[in-house]
Amino acid sequence: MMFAIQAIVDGLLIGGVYALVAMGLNLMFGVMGIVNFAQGEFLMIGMYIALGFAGIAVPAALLGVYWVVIPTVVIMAIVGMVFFVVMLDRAARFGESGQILLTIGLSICLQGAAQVVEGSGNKLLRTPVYGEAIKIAGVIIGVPQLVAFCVAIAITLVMAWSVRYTFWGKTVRAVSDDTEAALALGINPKYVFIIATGVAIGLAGLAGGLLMPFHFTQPTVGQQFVVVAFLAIVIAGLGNVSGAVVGGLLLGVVQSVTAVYLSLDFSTAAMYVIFLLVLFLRPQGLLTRTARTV
Amino acid sequence: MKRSLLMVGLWAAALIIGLLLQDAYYIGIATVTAFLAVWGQSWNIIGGLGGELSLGHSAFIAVGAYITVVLFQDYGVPPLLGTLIAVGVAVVFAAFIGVATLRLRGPYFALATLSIAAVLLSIIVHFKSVTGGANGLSLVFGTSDPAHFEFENPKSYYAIAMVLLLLVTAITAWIYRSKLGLYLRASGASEAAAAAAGIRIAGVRILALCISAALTALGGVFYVFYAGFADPNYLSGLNLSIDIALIAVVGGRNYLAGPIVGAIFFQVVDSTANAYAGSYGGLNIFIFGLVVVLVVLVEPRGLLALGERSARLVRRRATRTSLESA
Repeated sequence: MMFAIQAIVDGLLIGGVYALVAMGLNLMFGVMGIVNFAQGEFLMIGMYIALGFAGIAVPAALLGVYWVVIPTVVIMAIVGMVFFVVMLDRAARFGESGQILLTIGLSICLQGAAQVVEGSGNKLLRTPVYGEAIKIAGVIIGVPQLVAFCVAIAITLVMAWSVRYTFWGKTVRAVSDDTEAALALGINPKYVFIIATGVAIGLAGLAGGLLMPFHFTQPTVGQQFVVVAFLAIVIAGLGNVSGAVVGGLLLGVVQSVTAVYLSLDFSTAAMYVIFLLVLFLRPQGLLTRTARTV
Repeated sequence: MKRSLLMVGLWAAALIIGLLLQDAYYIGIATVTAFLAVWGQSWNIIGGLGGELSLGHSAFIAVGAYITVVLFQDYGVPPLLGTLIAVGVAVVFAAFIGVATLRLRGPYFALATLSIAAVLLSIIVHFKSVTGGANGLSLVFGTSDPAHFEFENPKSYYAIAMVLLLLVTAITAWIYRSKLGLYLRASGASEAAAAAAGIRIAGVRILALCISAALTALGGVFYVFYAGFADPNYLSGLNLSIDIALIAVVGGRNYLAGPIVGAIFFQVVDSTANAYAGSYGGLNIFIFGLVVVLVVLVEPRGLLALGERSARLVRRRATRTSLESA
């Protein structure tokens, strides 16, 4: 029993990271209909940036390890806005497959660039939180994992709230529902797209900054997260705001429980199988109520 | 007609040049290029003509490779018969995927095919006693018996790959001109219009996927005998699936020679960059990824379309200069 609870807790914790990556993907898909295969590489770049900032001793001593998250998110948000203006905006006219190919190409390119600049070895920084854990009723919970998980939940709540109640959120919904009508109301969709991409890539940076203290950094580290994040948002229903978190946590638990009870070999496959079942049986996703054609 | 004669001529020239090569390193590069071209061309039947972006084609390669090798080494089934069985299994597998993914388009189809290949990879890795697991499967070569796909001269595999490429290209050319090709392109361009015109989209798609899978698996069979080793993470990996798709796209999805040009380009970038920076240097994928991005942004129809466009430009400029000087 203890074993099962530990497996579920571990799954929830890694699921938090999946959720953070998935949230950015979901935002881009929901607002612009863009499937960003390069999100994992933005996560990877975020990790390298966080690693770089973590080496600066003074702010770390004053503010703690997690101060690196702030500059990382800011830089990645700017990168995201540039990414939209330079690439996504131009690829928009080539339709869905053009955008998919563009982001796949970019993801390969960024992986290669990271290998050229940083080498292909694993980098791990033993910050003060590394390996820290607390024990609650016999269940071991890693501290950096818990931080990442809590931030993921908090961000989801903030996003869900702001999409529903803030002016900015209403603008985003207007544009994603009907771009032309939003245009007629005086909203420039391009600005909304730029901001949305900035937020999405900023979220990848946030995930990178939170992941860095407990996960090694490596040029291809993003791939495993981005694929799971895709599965997560499709499982929950694309564009569904809280879907990223539900899907991410679900897949994290499936992965960890399969690894413990079936075989480590099948821990990834189990996530894909769940995904395929949802795709074939309920293509609109688990959380979406109305049937939608895919 | 002129074009197909030109292509066959170029093919014959490439075959002869390859057979004249002496350095094993270059023979290897030429052979891998030919296999990549075979796979890119096969992918293009569903990915280019049908407009369905498959990111799981490596699954068919793994099916072809593993079934033939395991049947041969564990059960003594002659590879020729094994190839037939493997291709048959790939077709059934593809038909199943086709039926299951019938309603899925664009990113959903891409993710579904990617997932199926990933599940297959896990299965191969798990059943170690049959497949050798993650460590892969070494082929035990006995006598160099052509009936066992064993050749002493490494150039034989180059010749085989080139013959395969000719076969796959001929089949693709036939599809281009057949009704199936028209239906495929119509449903790829606009599904609603194609359905309204009375095309049975489901049947056309599944048939195209099955043909594509059969040819991909056939390439997989001969590749694994060439490599002498089955590496599951390569043969059923996401990277190979992505490479195959990008090869066809970079060369030009609407051109018969597109995937071939793409494969040559890919391999030239790959081997040049690796010779310069080492195979783990990352320079190869950096350059190739950059080219993919540029192709999508500048000329999404691929390098061949870019070539055509610049040739037109040069010709126009040449006419203008000749007019001015006259």
